[in-house]
Amino acid sequence: CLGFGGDKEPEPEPETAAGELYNQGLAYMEKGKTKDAIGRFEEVDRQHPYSEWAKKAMIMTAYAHFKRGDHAETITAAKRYLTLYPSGADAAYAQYMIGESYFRQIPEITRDQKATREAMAAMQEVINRYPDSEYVDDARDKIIKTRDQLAGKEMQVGRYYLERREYIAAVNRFKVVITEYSDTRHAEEALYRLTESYLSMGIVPEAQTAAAVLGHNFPDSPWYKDAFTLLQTGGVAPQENKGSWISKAFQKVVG
Amino acid sequence: AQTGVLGSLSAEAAVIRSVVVQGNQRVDSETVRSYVLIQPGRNFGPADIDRSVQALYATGLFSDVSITQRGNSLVVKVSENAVVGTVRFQGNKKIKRAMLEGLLETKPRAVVTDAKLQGDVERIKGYYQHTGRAQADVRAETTPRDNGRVDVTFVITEGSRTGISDIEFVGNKAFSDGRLRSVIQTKETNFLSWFTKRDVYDDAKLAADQELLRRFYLRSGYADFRVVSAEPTFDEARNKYVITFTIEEGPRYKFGAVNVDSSIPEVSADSLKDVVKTKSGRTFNALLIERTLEDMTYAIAKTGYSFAQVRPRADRNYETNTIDITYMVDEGPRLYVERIDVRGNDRTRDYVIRREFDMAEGDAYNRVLADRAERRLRNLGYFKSVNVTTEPGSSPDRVVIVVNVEDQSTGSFTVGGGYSTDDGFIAEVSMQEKNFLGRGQYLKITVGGGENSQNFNMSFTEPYFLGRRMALGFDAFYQTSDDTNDRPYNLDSYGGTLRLGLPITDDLDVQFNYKLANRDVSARTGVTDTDALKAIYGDGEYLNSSIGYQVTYSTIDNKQDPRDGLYFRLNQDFAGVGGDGQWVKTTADARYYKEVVPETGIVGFLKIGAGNITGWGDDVAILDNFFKGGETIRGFKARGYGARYDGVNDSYALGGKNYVNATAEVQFPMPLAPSDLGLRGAVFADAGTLFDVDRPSGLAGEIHDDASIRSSVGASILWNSPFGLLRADFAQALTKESYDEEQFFRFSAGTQF
Amino acid sequence: CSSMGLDSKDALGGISETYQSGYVPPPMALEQIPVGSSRDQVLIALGTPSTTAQYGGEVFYYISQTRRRAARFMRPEVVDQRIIAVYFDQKQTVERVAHYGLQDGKVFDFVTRTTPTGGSDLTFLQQVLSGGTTFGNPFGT
Repeated sequence: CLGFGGDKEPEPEPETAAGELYNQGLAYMEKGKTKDAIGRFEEVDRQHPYSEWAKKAMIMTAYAHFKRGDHAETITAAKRYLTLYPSGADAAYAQYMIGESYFRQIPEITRDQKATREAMAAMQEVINRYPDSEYVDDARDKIIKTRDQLAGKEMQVGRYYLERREYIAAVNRFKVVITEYSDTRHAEEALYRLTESYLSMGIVPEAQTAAAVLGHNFPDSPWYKDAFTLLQTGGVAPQENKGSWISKAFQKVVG
Repeated sequence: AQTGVLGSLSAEAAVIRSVVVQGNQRVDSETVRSYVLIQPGRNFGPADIDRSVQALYATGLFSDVSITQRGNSLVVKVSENAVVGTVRFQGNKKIKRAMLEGLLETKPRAVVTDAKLQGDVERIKGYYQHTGRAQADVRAETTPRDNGRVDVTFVITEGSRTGISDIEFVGNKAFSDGRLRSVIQTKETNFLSWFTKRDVYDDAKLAADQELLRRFYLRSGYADFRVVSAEPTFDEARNKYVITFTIEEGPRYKFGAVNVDSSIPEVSADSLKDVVKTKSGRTFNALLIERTLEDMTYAIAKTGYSFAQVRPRADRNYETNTIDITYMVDEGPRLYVERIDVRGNDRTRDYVIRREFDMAEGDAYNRVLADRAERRLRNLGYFKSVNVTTEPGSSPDRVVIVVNVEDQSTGSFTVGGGYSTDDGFIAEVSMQEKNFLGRGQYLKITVGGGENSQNFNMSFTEPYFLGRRMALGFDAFYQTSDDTNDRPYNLDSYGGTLRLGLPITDDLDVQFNYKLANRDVSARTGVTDTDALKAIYGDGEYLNSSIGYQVTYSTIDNKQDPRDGLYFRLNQDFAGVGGDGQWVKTTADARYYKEVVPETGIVGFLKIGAGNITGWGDDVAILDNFFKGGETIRGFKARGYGARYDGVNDSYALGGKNYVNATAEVQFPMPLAPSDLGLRGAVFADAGTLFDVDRPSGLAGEIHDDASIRSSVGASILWNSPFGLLRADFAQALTKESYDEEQFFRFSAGTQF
Repeated sequence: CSSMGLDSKDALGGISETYQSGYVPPPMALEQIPVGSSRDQVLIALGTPSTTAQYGGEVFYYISQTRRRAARFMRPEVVDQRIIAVYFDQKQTVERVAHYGLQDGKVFDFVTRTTPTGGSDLTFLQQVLSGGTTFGNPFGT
């Protein structure tokens, strides 16, 4: 590297009117050239900080990043907008974009659900601070999905322990789903797994209670059918069909 | 807005009509008002004012905020922070702009504050110090531009690279300076420092070195060891540091009386005696105490008593320089695990981490089992960092175990080259993933080629088949090699292995496997010996299909650089499950490593091997024989000894159905060479034999085949270079057969195991 | 109640391990909670329960298991299981104490179907491209 002296920084472009820069940005957006559009919007913010145009440019920068799917940049840009203009016209959309960026990073349940929790908090913020914005309905829907995902995580760990006959761990995990996530789709399966756990331990009354609650709340759920047949046969005849061993083995490796 | 009845009564519950914002040039008043918690018409107290001031500061937009009440309006006076125009660097030659920008909090278009600038200067200085330029100086200059914008320039004077000229020790009698230098991380500047960067003076590293020294001495009997000081003095002229460690070794202790006393009725002291590793009379060693604590707690847990706590008490006896150790076993707190929460696993799946715990949620909390799980997770090699901590649970006798992991890249893509006197130059591209899809599975694909051979290899292993510690895996290979003087035939071979590994105990492992190997041989043509070669090595396809098992017992401390431990492997394959070959092959390999003189790096190494392949209702094809040479008894060419057939053009190796070999070797750090170069020497003696072949049908002519012992002595140079282990052997054959082929010099690069 | 760690009659000889999992009952605990004793007395004598009943009246379950693993690759098998169930009446005092043993447990295959969940899965390409590959040592050690 033949670096000599400091970096020569090109002299910044001559000042152009904020509105003109902003419109160039919009033009790029129409043509789908989001990268160039971001360049223009950032130029507006740099040359004319805190002007009305800068305010519009800032939200457009966030939107452009959002369109490109760069989650981290979207969140940073949107947060800067919210610090400067907490009650600005596009504040609700900025907050919504933050929630949506986290939501799209949600990993499947065997990995850390940090993004899920962040998405839930950000969407909850949309509902709390901008109750009458147009994004509240979608925010609520996304919250239901994040809660469902968190419940799915508890179920996954519960099943992990049930498979190893660690009944205390399994039962307590399924109970978390029933108490804290009773409004998610996993509640049905949680009740069924409780029936399985208690029956395996031999505490039949507890198993019957769980199955009864399942039947009462979800009469036509497939899980209730399973619970019903399980209690019916009293689980006495072990249904250990050897055939499933191979399929279980294959499924375990490819999984 | 109408005030509540109580509004105007209490003095401090004042009410204002309006909020006036002053001093803001660019941030609009509406934004400032939105952060002030006080609304016109509603009463407020001094606390609301404080919280509003803090909220305004928190936005980072303002350098100064004050809120005062004048009559019935609230005056909010602010002075704004300037906004950053451009950020530039001057004088950064060695470290590029992109790297420096990453360190900064001050970003273009963001707000500039003195605190941020100060932090940036410190971070840049720290980065320079970290790369060995402790004398670098950094200054932040701000040049105001129009409408409140400011350009920031970081002026850097890098100074030259400060290495470490030498590291001295004061007060060390038991170990030489050289030995202590090999213990610590920081090294003196040498020609490899540009690569290793170990010769950088850094307070954190110096502190870590002191800990390494302490642990080293505590392992070698010096219980009172203390580092008095670690002083770096800067030598202006040579722009280098001299680091002086002043230490107090104290006497060397031996273990005095060692006993166990238990205050828990269910746990009898003498049942734990055989777990104790600290035998009286032996040199004091803190590591052995830690190991004993762990094994003892585990042994107690196994007897069903989960809440025992083992603490060591050491009583020094200054006359006899011995330390009496008493292991005190008493009742620990009755704690249960409420939850195990895994955090930070962006790639590795939850169950791959959870299954390393011997404890489940609901079980008794046992710190030793938690440490063991942490150690296991670290050994997996999937994580940059693993720490297992505990948080209080929902009730006093419940605790939550938190497993914080940070994934690291476990894939490695290697383009490699190698040279060995046996195979000449080989190039190799390999892709390995230790944590395939975060499932803990292992995948390796290698494609290689050389002067006279190409190969493809693939290997996959699932370590927890069916949720049990059963390693199911398969390997596949395809290989072509052309006619060479050692191997007078073209050979295309392909095949695979299906294997199931079962760990029996921590050191003992059994593996069952099925192997399929097909080879297509075409002997060298157009020479008088062609017919003989066809008879010897076969012509056309040959399939071996065998089932077998492998028993491995290993207590080796470190696979890459073994210094202690025993390794024994027995292997048996039964061919004849279909295919052409019908034989039983048995091989045994035993190795024993021992550090001859403790803590000096001089390692003695004994190796004994034996093997037999016996036809089972059929002759053994020559190519299924064992072929031995320089890789087993140094001083011989590849396939250099064993049975041989005298053809017209040349003599050809036939290998043998039985072999025995033994090696005795002593490895030692190369004297005079700086220790961190990884240069070692070795002297050795090899011996062995290879004999007995089934004469191929239709082959006339003489076959030399003697069970005599071949032997050799020699020396080697080993270099554990940053590019891998390179080894050069010089060996002279002592006893050999006239028809064997010698080779004095051998060179190889690659792994030992 | 649990046998010594080294269980001689095993097929694979002395390498099996036996260990305690779940609740560890303190000695003479049950004598301290006769019928009629209060909920707090139970908490003091036995500690926090392994789990409690989800619906209906209040019940404390204390679940203890003894597991044995014949060899390290095998999955530990439950060889003994004791569950203490403490039932309370409306006045929050002990109504009765029930015991369940290993023989009460029913044996059956758990249903393998699971409720589907979302979230993006890690594809191999992603793993390789997301900085998953570093330049290892050229000699492939």
